[in-house]
Formats: sequence, structure tokens, C-alpha cells
Amino acid sequence: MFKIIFRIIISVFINELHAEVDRSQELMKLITQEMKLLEKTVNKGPELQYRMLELQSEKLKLIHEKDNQNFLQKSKTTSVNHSKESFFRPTRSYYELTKGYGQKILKSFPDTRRRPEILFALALNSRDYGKDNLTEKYLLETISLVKDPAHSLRHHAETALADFYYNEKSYPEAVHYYERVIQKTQDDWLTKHYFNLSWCYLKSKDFNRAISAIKEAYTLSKNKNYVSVRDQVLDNIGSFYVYAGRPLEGLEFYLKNENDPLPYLIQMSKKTSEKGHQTETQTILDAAQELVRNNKLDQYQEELYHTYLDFYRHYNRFEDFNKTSLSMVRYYELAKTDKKVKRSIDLKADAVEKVRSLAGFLQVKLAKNMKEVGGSYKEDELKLVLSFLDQLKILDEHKRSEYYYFQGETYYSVKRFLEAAPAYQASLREAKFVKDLEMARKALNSLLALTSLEVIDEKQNKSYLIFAFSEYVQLWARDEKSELIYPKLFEIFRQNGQDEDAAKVVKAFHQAYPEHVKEQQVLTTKILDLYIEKKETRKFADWIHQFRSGYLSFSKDTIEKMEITLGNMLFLEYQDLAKKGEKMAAAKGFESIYVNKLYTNKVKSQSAYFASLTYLEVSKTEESFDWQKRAVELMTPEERSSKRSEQLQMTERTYRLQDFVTSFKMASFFLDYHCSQKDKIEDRFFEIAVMTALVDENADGAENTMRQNSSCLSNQSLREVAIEQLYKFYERRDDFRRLRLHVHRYHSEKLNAEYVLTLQKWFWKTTSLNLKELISQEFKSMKNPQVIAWMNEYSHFKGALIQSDEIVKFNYWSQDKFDSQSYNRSLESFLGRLQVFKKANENLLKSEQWDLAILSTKLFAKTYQAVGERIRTMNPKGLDPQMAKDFQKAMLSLGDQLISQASQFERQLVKASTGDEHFSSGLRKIATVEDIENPILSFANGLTMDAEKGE
Amino acid sequence: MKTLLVLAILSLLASCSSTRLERKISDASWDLLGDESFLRWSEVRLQKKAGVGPKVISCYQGETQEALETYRLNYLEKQQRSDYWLHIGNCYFLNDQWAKAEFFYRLSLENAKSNSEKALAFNNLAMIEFKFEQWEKGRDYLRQSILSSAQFRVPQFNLSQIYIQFGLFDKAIEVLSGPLFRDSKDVDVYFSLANAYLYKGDLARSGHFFELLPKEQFRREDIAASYALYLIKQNKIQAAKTIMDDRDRSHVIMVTEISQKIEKLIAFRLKEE
Repeated sequence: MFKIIFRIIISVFINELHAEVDRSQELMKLITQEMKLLEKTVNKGPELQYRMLELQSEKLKLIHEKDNQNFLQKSKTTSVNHSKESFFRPTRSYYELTKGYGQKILKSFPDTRRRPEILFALALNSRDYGKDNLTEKYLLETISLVKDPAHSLRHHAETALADFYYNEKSYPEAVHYYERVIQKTQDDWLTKHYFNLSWCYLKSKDFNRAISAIKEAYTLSKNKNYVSVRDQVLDNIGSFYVYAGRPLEGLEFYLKNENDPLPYLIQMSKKTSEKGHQTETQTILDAAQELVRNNKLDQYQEELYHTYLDFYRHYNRFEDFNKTSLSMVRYYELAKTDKKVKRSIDLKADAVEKVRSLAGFLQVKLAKNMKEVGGSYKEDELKLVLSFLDQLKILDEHKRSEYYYFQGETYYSVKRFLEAAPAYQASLREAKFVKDLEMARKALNSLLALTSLEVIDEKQNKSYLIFAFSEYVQLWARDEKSELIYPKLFEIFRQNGQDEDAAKVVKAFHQAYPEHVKEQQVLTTKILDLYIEKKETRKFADWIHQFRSGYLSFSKDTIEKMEITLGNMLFLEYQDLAKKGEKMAAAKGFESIYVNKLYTNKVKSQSAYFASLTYLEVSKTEESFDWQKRAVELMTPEERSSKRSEQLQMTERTYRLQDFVTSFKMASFFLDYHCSQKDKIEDRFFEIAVMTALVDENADGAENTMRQNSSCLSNQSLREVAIEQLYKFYERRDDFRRLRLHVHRYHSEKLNAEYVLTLQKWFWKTTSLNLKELISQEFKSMKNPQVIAWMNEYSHFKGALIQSDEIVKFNYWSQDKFDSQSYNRSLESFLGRLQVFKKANENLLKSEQWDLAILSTKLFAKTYQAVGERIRTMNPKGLDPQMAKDFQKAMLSLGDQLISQASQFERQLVKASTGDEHFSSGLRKIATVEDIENPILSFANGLTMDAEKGE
Repeated sequence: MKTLLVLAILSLLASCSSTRLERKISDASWDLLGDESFLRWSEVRLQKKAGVGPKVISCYQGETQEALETYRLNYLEKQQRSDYWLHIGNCYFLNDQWAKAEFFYRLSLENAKSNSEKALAFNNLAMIEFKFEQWEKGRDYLRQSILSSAQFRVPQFNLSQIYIQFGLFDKAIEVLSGPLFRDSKDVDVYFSLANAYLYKGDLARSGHFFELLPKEQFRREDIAASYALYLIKQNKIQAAKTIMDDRDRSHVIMVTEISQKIEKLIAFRLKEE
């Protein structure tokens, strides 16, 4: 679409150009044809030659037009001022030809009646195309040849001569010929001649005539017979009145004659002002303003304001200037906001310049005055400057920063520092808004210079300094000046106790200058000191998190020290609580630290550890271990290692607090954790694990520790001790099955020897045949000579029991008839059996198996007792009374001997047992009354002791 | 459900059996050993001591857990004291937790600063050995106790008990006739002497000491059983039966078994008559 329109425009332009060219060419063609035609005439008289001169003059005109066209064309692209004449060579050349032709006619036909016309043609050609200054000469000759003042040629020649003189500033000559020219009232251009004449009067300082002439030109212009010069008159008549020293008449003229006099009044007011008519200027402007106001001629308001401003500035009326400029500012604001009324803003830039110029002027003046010795300033002037700068902020809003800055500088120049600082601040804000970094730098530099003077209240001064520093490093994070500012700004914040701000400075510093990390570390340490002082644990923790993630490249050691410090800060409160006896509250406090996500693992670990310790102090052993585990989980391997001794003590304390279950868990836990250490601490944990398990009747726990953790021991003999402890545990509980398993599992010569004795003891103690059988089988499987000997003895003893039983039950005499020989044989046989029994079994009485020996002795005693009783009480049938007495006496004696023997067996036994204090179950069985064991049971009757006196 | 029922029955059976022979003495004048052991103190006596005596009194009154908890809380303050551990051991002892009792007796021994304190710990360790029927070890501890401090009657009394149990009656009589027991009256000392003489076969002396015992003490099953045997030996079978019939059951299995044997014997003798 655009291309189409463009093409249409180009084509129209080309067509017009072509049309002009065509017209010129056509004319040239026609002229050339006529000239050729005339040239063919052999005897050309003055009339024909004059025609030829006319044609040549026309042609000259066309050539000039063409030259002029070329010149204008060329001047569009290149500078042609110096070579202008070269473009008009054709004109000059043809002019000379024409002039020569005319002069030739005049010479050839000196008396021709066409002479005035020829001279007039030569005058006009000379004026328009020549450089030979022959115009005046030819015109005067023309006028002199035409005597009739009413002749049109004479009127044209006089008019041309008047114009010539006017242009040549020869005003009296011009006046002379114009005064003649205006006599010819038929001339359409009479108005122009009056107008030119008025100017000639004016130039000749004949103001009254000038005003009269120009007024006549205005009046005649109303007549349609004449060419109107109304506009030219209106443009100039005001000046005429001013020059005449009667500007108010000019005002009156315009007001009276023109419906829209504003442009002329404005124009005239300027001239009036220029010419020093201050009062009249004010009147004209006020009149103009009234017109604008009354007739709503808003289109003139802008120019009028400017005229006012120029006027006031011209007469140094700055207060008035300010009032007007304030109105003007409101005008421009309305122009922006109120679009219903069309308001010109063409001069806005000029308005800025005007206000700015005056503001600058006054600002310099203020500064200059202040610099003088004992300098002071005028408050009014300061107000004006500030007002102008305020206006400029509105008029020239893109440079608001600059105007704020100027305000700051103005305040500064008059030493009103307190007001200067906010102005600089505002300047900076505006500069940032429009991204004018240079302006921002200026504002900040000024603010910094101001704060360095220390002329403002210290507190405020510091706040401005902070502002300046902060803004500076924000805008130029990496900058020569910023590099110095960071530490200073940090120090201010630190001194103010503004830790967060100080911390931000360090961060920014680090971001901009990572190479200054050492210095930043030092600064950060100062912040941490601040946190410590203020007990800001949350912030402290936050920093440590950052350090942990690499911020400021603190060493691991340093971070750990910080963590310890943080821990100390955090824990202090709860440690104090604990000291006051509020240990549960303290423990809960430590827990709260642990659950807080803010803190690092080290701190959490420490808090959990402290919770564990505190719980232990209040005997909450399970809770203590629970927190201990949490602490350990978060510890580093080094920390875990360093805590082992303390953890060992805690484990010991836990069982001393009667919690064997937890103590066992703790010991097992730490034993596992540090198994590879294989040191005395591991040994002790092992001991505790086994011991606590057994105290808690948890044999499985002890067994597991044995199996799984023996490898953690540095002293393997502890394993043997544990094996013995477990052995004792099973033995004490008469647990054959587990003891057997234990011995088989941890087989050793020593254990086996002990095992044999234990089994032997159990064998004699138990009343369970099943267990006896199991022990017998176990003995058999041992293939131990001693045990085999024992088993053989036991078999022997069982045989003795049968033998004894047979003897006891044996009835050696049951005959109905007594036969002494036969009886004696039977008795001998009976006693022989006893003898055989004795011989066969008496080695059992000396058995190493104490219980077997006791039982055997008891068996002997019982057998002898029974045999003795049998013999003692024998009363055979068929015995005569006399013999019976002797017989019974003999049998009583024999029986008593045997019973005595039985008692002797028992006494021997008691004696032996008393000497050795063997507390075997066999012994208990013989110490009976009516075969009933003693109801005194030491395990039931024994008394524990209490360390307290009674009633 | 069936499993639960079985468990419940087992639990009841367990509660019926005991290793502790109740022999509370209400009259302190009959408790020669009362200054050394609270074990035979009646509830009334304990009640009087409660609150002013050591916390271990609570354990004798059946408030073991509360007492132990208090001891736990006193740990920091009293951990260096032998009696602290001794009393904890006694609480566990009274609760039939021998292993724990032993553990704390050992701590008591470790923390003992005087021979007297050692004597107490040794005696109590002996009692643990007795519970596990480690008679020789028990005897050795008692000997150590007596060696540590000969002023205490309880270790000697305990020694006499094991002598009696294993037929060393003369030794028992010797111990219980020593200066610490002379001219003093005590239920168990008299009973032990009566018993020792009985089993030794000296019925007259046995009868003498049985006669010294307060009548209400014959309700104690061990005394009843022993006295019944004495009466049987004296052919006072009906009197023996009466004694046995009037006895309080101890629920100590071995004593119960002996009682049952005596009852059978009585029944047999009565049948013979």
C-alpha cells in the first residue's frame, strides 16, 4: 500500500516537473520559431528589432529560470554557494547578447519611438539578470524620455526606480518616486506602494508619515480594486507605533481593527519591550492575556507565556517571571492531562531553556554571593531557584534527577546542608529510575562530600552516609570507590548493631570482590561476634549453614569452632536450667534445638547429646539412650571416637541406675559402632554387654554378644571370662540343656573339667530320673577315664543296692524244727553274704564321688543295721526254752555288734563331713530324722542384712 | 483362649510356690537379729520405721518399684555409699531377682569403706549363693563376712543354718551357742538349736529349746515340721498331728514336701497304734 502511494506521489511530482519543463520548452520553441521567422526578414526596422528584443528578453527569462532551476536542484545535494555564478553563465551570456542587441537598436535607430520601451527593457534586464548596475541609468533615461506623467511607461519606470531605491536603502529618493507613483490611483499595486512608502518614511524616522502611509495601505487594502497588503501592514504597523514611541496606539489599532489581534500584539509587545517601553509592554501583554482569557484563545497562550517570560527576564523581574512560569507549568500539565482543549506545546523545550537559564543564573549568583567575604544570600533568590528547579522537574521530567541535584547543590552552596542531603537522595532515586548512572554518581559523590564535612547532626549524618554507601555499592558493585566503601559501610552497620545489614554488605562485597575473601572472613567474624553478644543463635546458625555450603571459604576447622560456639550459645540457657535443677525442662530445651531445622548437624548432634546427658542425670535412662543414638547418628567419625569414653561412663551409669536392658543396648550399640577400634573401651563395652545381659537373665543377649562382638576385643581373655560367666549362669539355674550346648560350643579343657564336676553334682542332686539318664549319656559320650570310673562306681553302687536288698530281704532260717548245726550253717551263710557284700562294695565307701561314698556308707549302715536287727530278733521255731535263752543272748550279742557296726559307718561319715564341710545332697539325705530331711533350708532361712539399726 | 487359660493356671501355680519362708516376728524382743536385718520384721514394726528409716523399708512392705525409683533418683547423691547399693540389692532380693541383687551387693562391696560394710555385703552375697544352692560359695562369703566383722550375729546365724541343713549339727550348736547369742532370745536361734539337737538325736535338749519358743511360732511350717518330728520321736503322734494340722502353709516346695512326708509318717504311726 505504502509503495503504491509512494509511486503515485512520485508520478505526480514527475508529471508537474514535466509540465513545467514542457511549458518552458513550449515557450522556448514558440520564441525560437518567432525569432527565426523575424530573422528571415531581410530589412528589419526598429519595430521588428524591438520585437526581437522582447523575444530575447523572454528567452532570457526562460534561460534564467532554467539556470535557477539547475542551481536549486544542485544546491539540494551539494554546497553551491561558492560556484553559484557558474550556474548562471547561460543567463549572463544571453543577457549580454540581449543588452548588446538593445544597445545596437538604440545605436542603429537613435530616434526611434520605441527608445523608452527599449531602455525600460534594458533596465529591467539589467535589474533581473545583469551585474552591470545599469538599471538606475536606463530607468532615469526612460523617465526622461516619457514626458507625460500619466503615461503608463513612465509610471512603471518610476515605480521600478522607487523600488530600486528602496532596495538600495536610498529612502529619500525612494520617497520621491513613491510619492509620484501613489498619485496614480488606478494602479492595482497602490497599496503596496503606500506600504513601501511607509517603510521609507520610517527609515527616514518620519514616524507620523510612516504611520499615516501604512494606515492608508491598510485602508486601501480593504478596496478590492487593489492588491491587499493587509497582512504585511498588520505585521508591521505595531512596530511602526513602537518606533514612533506610541505603542499603546498600536495596541488600540489592533484591538480596534482586528478580530484576531493576538499574534500582532505579541509581536508588538516584544518590539515594545526591546525598545525599552516596559510599562507599555506590560499593558500590551496584559491586554493580550485578557483577550486570551476572555475569548478562550488558548492557541496563543503558550506564546504569550513565553513573551511574558522574555519580558520579565529582560527587565530582571524574577518574581514575575516565577509567577508566570508557575502558570506556564500548570498550562503544560493541563496540556498533558486535559486533551479536550487543544493547547500548543511547541515551545516547551524553549520554556525549559528559559526557566533553566534563569535558575542557573540565580544559582551562580547565590554561590558567588556566598563566596564573598562574609558572604550571605537572599532568601527570596534561593526560593526562586528552588521554585524554578521544581518547575523544571515537571517541565523536563526526564531530567528530574538533574534538577534535584541542582537543588542539592543550591542548598549546599548556601550551606543549608540539612536540606541538601535529601535533595541529593532524591536526585539519586530519580537517576536510578531513568537509569542515568552518571547523574547517580554525581548525586552520590555530592552526598558523600557533604557527609564528610560532618556538618549535620551525627545520627543523621550517619544515616546519609549509610544511604550513600549502600546506593554506591548497589549501583557499582565492582568499582574503585566501592572497594573501599564495603568495609566502611560494614563498620557503620556493625557499630550500630545492624547485624543483618552488615551481613548483607559482606555478601555484596564477596560477590563483587571474591579475591578479598580473607578480609571478608574477618568482617564476618565480627558479625558472628555481634550474634554472640546478642545471642542471635538463629542467625548464627544460618551463617554456619552458608559456610558449610562453601560461602567465604572458611576452613573446616573454623566452621567447626563456630558450630561449637553456636552450640555453647544455644546450650547455655538449658545448661543453666539444668544447673538450677530444672533438668527435665533443660532436656526438653535440648530436644527443641535438635528438632529445629535451622541448626546444623553438629549442633543437632550436640543438643541430642546434651539431652541424653540431662536425661541420664534424672535417671531417664531409656530417653537418654534414645537421644544418645540420635546424637551419634549426626556425629562425624572423629566426634564419635572422641565421645567413646564418655559414652562408656554413661553406659556404666545406666546399669548403675538399675536399667540393665538399656545399658545392654547401649553397650551393644557402641560395641558395634566402634568394633574396628579393638581397644580397652571396646573391651569394657563387651564386658558390660555380657554382664548386663546376664544380670537381666538375658542369656541370649550375652550369647549374641559373644558370637558377634568377640572380634571387637583387644583382650581376647575377656571372651574366656564371658564364657565362664555364661557357664556359671546356666549352672546356677540347673539348665542342663543350655549348659551342654554352651560347653559344646565353647569347647575347652578347662570348661570340660568344670562341666564334668557340674554334671556330677547335678547327677547326685537331682531326683529326676530323666535328668540322671541324660547326664549318664553325656558322661558316656565324654569317654573320659575319670568319668568312666565314676560311672563304673555308680554301676557298682547299683549292684550293691541290689545285693543289700537281697541280704536285707534274705530269710536265713525258716525251718519248723530247730537244728543248731543247720542253723549255724545258715547263719554263717547269711553272714558270709554280708561279708561278700562288704568285700565287694567297701571300696565304694572311699569313692572320690562324695555323694556316692555317702550313699554307700549309708547303704552299708542300713544293710548292717538290717542284718543286725534280723539276727537280733531271730526266734526260731522248735527251740527248747533252756536253749532259747542262750540262743537269744548269743543272737542279741551278734546283732548288736552288727548294729554297732552300722552306727560306726554313720559316725565315720558325719565326722568326715564335719571336717571337710562338704555340702552335698547326699549328706543332707543322711542327716534325717525318721528318714525325713531337715525342714531347715538354708536358702529359705538365711537372712540378708540391712545397714540400718533396728528399733 | 486355651493358651491364655494355661498361662493363667501356670501363673496361679507359680504364685502358690515360693522360696521365701514367712517368719515375721511381731515382738521385737524375740528378734535378736532385728538390728541387722529387716527380713523378719512384721508389718507393724516396719510401719513404725517407715518414713524415718531407709527407703528399703518400702521394699519390705512390698513397694519395691517405688523404692527402686527413689534410689534411682538418689543416685548422684548416694552412689558412693555402700549402704545405698546394699539396700537396692535387698529390694531386688525381696523381689526374687537374684542376679540383680547380687550385682548391687557387689557394688555395695566395691563401695564399702569399712569392714562392717564389707561384712554386710559378704553376708548378702552368701544369701545369693544359697539361693542358687552354691553352698560352699555361700559358706565362704559368710566366713568372709564374719572375718570382716565379728560383731554381727546374722552371718553366724546364716552359717548355722547351712550347718544344720547338711547335718553338721555340732557346728551349728557351737555357732548358736557362742557369745553373740548367749542370754538372748530369738525365735530362729531357739528353733535352730532345737532342730540341731533333734537331728543330732539329743531329744532332751531339743525339747528344751522347743519349749522356749512362743506358742504361736509353731504355726510356722518349718518349726511345725521339726517339732512334729520331735513329738514323733517322743511317740506323741497325735500331738504331732495337731501341730501339723495347725501349721500355716509356707508354699516353699521343699518344706511342703517334708511336711507331706511327716504327715504320711504320722498317718502311718497313728494307723499302727
